Amino acid sequence: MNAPSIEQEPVLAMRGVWKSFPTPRGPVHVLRGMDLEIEPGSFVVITGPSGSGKSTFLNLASLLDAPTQGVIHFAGRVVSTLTEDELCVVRKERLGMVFQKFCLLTHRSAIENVMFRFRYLDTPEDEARARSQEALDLVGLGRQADQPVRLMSGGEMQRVAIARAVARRPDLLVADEPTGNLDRKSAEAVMQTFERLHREGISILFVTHNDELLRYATRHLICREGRLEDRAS
Amino acid sequence: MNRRLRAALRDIFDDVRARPGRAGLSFLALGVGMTALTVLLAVLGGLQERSRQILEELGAQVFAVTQAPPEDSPRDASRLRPHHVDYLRANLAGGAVSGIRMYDVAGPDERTIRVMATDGSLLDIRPWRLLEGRFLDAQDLAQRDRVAVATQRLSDDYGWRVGATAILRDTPFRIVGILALGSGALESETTESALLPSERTFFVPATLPPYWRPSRTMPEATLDALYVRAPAALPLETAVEQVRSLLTQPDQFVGDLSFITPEVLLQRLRKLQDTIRFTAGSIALLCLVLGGTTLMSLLVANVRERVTEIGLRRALGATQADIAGLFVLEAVLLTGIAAIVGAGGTGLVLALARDQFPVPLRLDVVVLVTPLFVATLLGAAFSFWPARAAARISPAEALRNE
Repeated sequence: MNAPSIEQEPVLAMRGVWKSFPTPRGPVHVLRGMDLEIEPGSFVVITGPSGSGKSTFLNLASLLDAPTQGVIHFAGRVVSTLTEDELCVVRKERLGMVFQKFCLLTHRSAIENVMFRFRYLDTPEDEARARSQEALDLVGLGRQADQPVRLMSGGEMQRVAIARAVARRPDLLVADEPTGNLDRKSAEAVMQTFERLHREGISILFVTHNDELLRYATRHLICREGRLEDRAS
Repeated sequence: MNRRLRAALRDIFDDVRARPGRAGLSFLALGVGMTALTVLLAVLGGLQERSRQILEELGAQVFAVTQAPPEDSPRDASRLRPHHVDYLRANLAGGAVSGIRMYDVAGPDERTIRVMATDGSLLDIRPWRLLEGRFLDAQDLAQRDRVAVATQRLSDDYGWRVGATAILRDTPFRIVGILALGSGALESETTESALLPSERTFFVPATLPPYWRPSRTMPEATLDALYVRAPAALPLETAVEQVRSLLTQPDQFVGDLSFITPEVLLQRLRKLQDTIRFTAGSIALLCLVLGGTTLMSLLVANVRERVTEIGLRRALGATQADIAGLFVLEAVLLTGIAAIVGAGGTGLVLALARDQFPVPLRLDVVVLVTPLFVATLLGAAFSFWPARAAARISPAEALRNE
């Protein structure tokens, strides 16, 4: 797997980031001057009440959306001014994402889903397969590589999704409520997977409502009224 | 195969497999449309080819002058006669004129043979090909030799070769030539027997007594038709008018004439072409529009159902062009396969049942490739809007949709 690109610089930094959405009654400011730095190798968990701006923040952190105002640095590079196509390149090469509802291709096997990570990269198929198998081994599903994901449990599906996110080692792994749809036991298995990835040196940005998961975090941020507050964890 | 293309094909295959009903319906409508389009192209192409053959077989600058039979035209004094041939030859400088008389006679196997009594100039006018030997000449006419020129069909049917003796109603004729009459295009398009002797025609000198008739007495010298080749410099219509005018002069008057020009023959074909173009064209257009709109609705529904997948693809680095390309490729592939199945299957059926088809057909690369081209355009056109809509979905919105 690749080493983090720049060890010393924050993997993600936001300076005075605002995100507003236009409405008929004027713009709604969801993020209000957010500042943040995420150091390489950290496991940052963000909690906060509904409507506090967590999802909007995550979209910006995942480079899926652009800020209305402010600057975002990703791995030492200003990304808030990049074009859509340039952002696509950063996303496919340097980011990993895990979603609450897995976002798997249910007609395909576990390894095919993981290999989908390379769908828009120029990685040779053999290499993609090898890396995908390695990622499945990492999340403990190496023996179920050829099993159709629709036959898997929720926890296993989420681990396949995690394997997909890390098959090409990301600079930052962004996870949006990855245990939100899982029972306690499955959630625990998934969190142990995240913990293993963290030990492997992957930076993780994790959004959850579940305070029990804070024990895995190296840093806890609370999102409140469009701003992030640092809490010791 | 390019890895990305293979991956895209895999994506499309997965999508079709996930929604077989809708894809099947769209495929069916497009397939029917392509079938109708192929039939339309084959028939129109066939009719066009037939038109070309008619012009070719009638000959450049050639027209026929025929007259209603005597029972319809009781004024015997005004019938076409051999002196009209000389009269026209004298007045149509640079042209050629030939007259014919026709008789139907039972052949050796009792099948009908058409005997055509004419002169040597017929071959200067009609572009029939002499396969062997020679055509009738002035000497044959002058000496009233019992010589004949047979068509290839008669030659094949009865073994009549050059030098052989053909016996027609107990009268021997020496075969001096074998003639090919063309593709039969005229035969199938016109009831005017004067224009095209059947493939079983026996040409004899016009001066021979009708040995093949029970009475064997020379009939009153009338002609069934004249063939005229207009002078090269004279427009055909002008030549027709000139002949009409010559044959209505008081001392040369001929009544109830019909002038059969290529234009007259082609009119019927053009009418048929227009009818087919309108009917089969409407069906093809309807099916293609139906197929296209079904395809579009399939793609719109796909986009709606695959919003999360689109979000995932964008999250994994797909550009807007990648997303749009996926839907366009899916549509083009679906329409392309429908075209291959529809046009290919129809082409095969038409080729096998060609003889049973009531109109001429042309089955060539153009007929088979055009539907594929149309299908590609159709796929691209009808997928444009859904593909653009898919490409414009914000990845953040799409993933929130999960």
